[in-house]
Amino acid sequence: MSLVSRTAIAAAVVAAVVLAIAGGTTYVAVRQSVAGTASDLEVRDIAARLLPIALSLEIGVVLLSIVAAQRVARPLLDMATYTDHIRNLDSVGDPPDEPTKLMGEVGALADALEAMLQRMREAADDERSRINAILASLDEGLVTMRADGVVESANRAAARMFGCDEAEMVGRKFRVVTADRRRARADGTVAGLLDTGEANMVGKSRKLVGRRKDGTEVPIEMSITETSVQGRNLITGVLRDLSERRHAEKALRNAQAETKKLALVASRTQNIVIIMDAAGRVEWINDAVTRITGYALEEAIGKSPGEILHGPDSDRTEIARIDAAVEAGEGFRTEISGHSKSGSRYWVEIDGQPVRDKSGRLLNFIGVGADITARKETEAELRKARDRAEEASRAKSEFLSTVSHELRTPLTSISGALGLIRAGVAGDLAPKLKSMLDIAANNCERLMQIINDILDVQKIEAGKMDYRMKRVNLAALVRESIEANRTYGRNNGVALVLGEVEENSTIVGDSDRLMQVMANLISNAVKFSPAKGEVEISVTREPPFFRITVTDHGTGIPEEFRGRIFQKFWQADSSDSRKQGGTGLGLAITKALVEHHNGRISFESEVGRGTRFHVDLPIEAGATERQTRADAAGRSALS
Amino acid sequence: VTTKLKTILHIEDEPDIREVVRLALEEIGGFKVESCESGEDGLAKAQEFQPDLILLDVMMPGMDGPTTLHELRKIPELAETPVIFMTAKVQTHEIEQYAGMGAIGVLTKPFDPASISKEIRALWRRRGDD
Repeated sequence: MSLVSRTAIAAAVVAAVVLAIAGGTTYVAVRQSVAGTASDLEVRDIAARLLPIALSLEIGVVLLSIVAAQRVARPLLDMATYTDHIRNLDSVGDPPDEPTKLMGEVGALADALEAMLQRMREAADDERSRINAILASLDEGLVTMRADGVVESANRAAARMFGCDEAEMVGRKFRVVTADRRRARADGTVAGLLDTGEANMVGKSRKLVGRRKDGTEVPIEMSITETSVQGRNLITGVLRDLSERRHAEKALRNAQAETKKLALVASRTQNIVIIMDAAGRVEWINDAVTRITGYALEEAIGKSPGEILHGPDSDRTEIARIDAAVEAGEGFRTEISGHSKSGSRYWVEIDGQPVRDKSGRLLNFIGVGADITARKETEAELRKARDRAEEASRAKSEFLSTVSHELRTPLTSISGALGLIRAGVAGDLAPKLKSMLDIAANNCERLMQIINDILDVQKIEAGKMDYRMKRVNLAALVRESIEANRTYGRNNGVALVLGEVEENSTIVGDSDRLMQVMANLISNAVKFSPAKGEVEISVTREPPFFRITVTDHGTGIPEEFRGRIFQKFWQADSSDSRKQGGTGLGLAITKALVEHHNGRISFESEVGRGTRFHVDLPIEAGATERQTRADAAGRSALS
Repeated sequence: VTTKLKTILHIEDEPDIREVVRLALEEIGGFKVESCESGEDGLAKAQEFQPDLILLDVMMPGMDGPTTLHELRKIPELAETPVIFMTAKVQTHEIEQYAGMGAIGVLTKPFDPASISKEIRALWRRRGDD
């Protein structure tokens, strides 16, 4: 029976006793008052009649008291039941109705209690959410276990370490394997650790190897504490995944090893390495810098690059540029000369770059470079050699130009005088005189051709032959060349014949040079043709070239000379120079001119039957006109 | 431009060439020719002679052809007188260089005395084209 019930009955009993005392007192009083007026019998009689009534009244009062007491006690009873339920939060079963429907002071009290409880529930919920969020956000794993190692709760980090989710961990034994595999054989559970010689790990931190859900192992650092919650002992484990730390440690070790290697390289390399601070003052130099400049590390520290790169030949402007770049925090690249402490001159090439931290703050300058003294000396030698060669070339060119001029001047007078006489300025000429004048004029012309050839060779070799590349129709050019050389052919008893002609044969070339090519080939063909012979010239299309062919029916070129006919000063028979005329330069010049047009020259020859020269010039679709000078190809053609 | 070419001043240091040119231009071309042997003489002669055209050798000792031309242009009455260079320097760039100095043409040595007058007349006619 509850305290409230007992209180209600007690109240009823007290009421009955009070009524009995009151009834007895009343009875005594009545009896005393009646005693003076009535006999005892009468009194007994009256009392006998009054007694049932009194008893009935008393019973009624007692019942009323009980009912009243219970009515008063019920709300209190409900309140007590409710508070009992609240107190035993872990009790099972549905909670009783909240006593808020009660009226009066008790109802108000219940309302206040309910409101207070609601706030407490909300606060508790908030706190629980906050704690859960904190636990979930921890990088460290947190596990609570019973003493036998069965997991009661685990946070997200712990579950992640073991490759499962939180719910999968709860209710299972927390198996770990100690890092020491020999101990691992003894027992793999925390309980084992606690119960055996490892019990002293409580309160300490030690490294273990955990087994993940997939069977793989994970290095863990674990701290275990024991706590008592509502009288129960709980083991709390705080876990740290050492994988990342180990990776970081490994990375650090690797980085340190790498740094050591780099430091070794930087120190021992033959290249220059200079490290400067943000203000451009030397912090460190390697051995190469010391070797080149003569400055030891301790001497160089604190100096600016300009202070190390000094000497009478140092480029002050370049040093100022480097200093300005350093001051502006910008990279620089330089080739500069300096003088070592002992006074020897050196050249260095340095690439200086700023080093900044993540926020962009300038930390250092690193200059890496090389000793280029040898290269510079070689370059200087080459420059001198080139200057000497250019000077020699200029002198040669000037000499040839002067010789040409000096040879032309008297030739101008001779040929001019001969020309005047042949033109009849001095009167009519006798046939014999005219014949001799013709010989003189022809040899004058031949001498002029030799001078021109020598000058051409010099220009081609010097790369100074001028070309004016324009659109040229080869058919027209060949016809023009035949007309230009027809008289020469006729004078030698050789007919020039136009063969097959591709009319649509426009290329980009220098028409004057191509006419020179044709003149050389036609005059050669005429020279080596028999009397009353015929030289045929044709233009055909043979992609990717147009082919000009000059065919004679002369003596042909002997087999043993065919490899040399494009060389300078060469003819099949040295006596030919005089017999056939010419300098032996014509084909060499011709080859160079053709090759400058990206063309090629070739021949077919049969001794006793004749020779056929082919000039192939590229069909240049959409070729543009241009002006060029002979290049190395032109020179090599004459070499 | 349409004026007929009649008088020519020839400036040339080589006496043989001066003679050949004079004969060619007078006997074959029909021009009236005055000759002198240097640029300095040529400047004086030109002011005196007032030729229709000056035939000017390029390479001469002392004042060479280009310098003579430059000086001629400073003399108002000769500033517009057409000039033709004669040269034994026959490289293309040399010829272009002389042509670029303001001459109306360049004749190369050796020349054909039978045709030099025709060539000069052709250049004289073309002088306005440029």
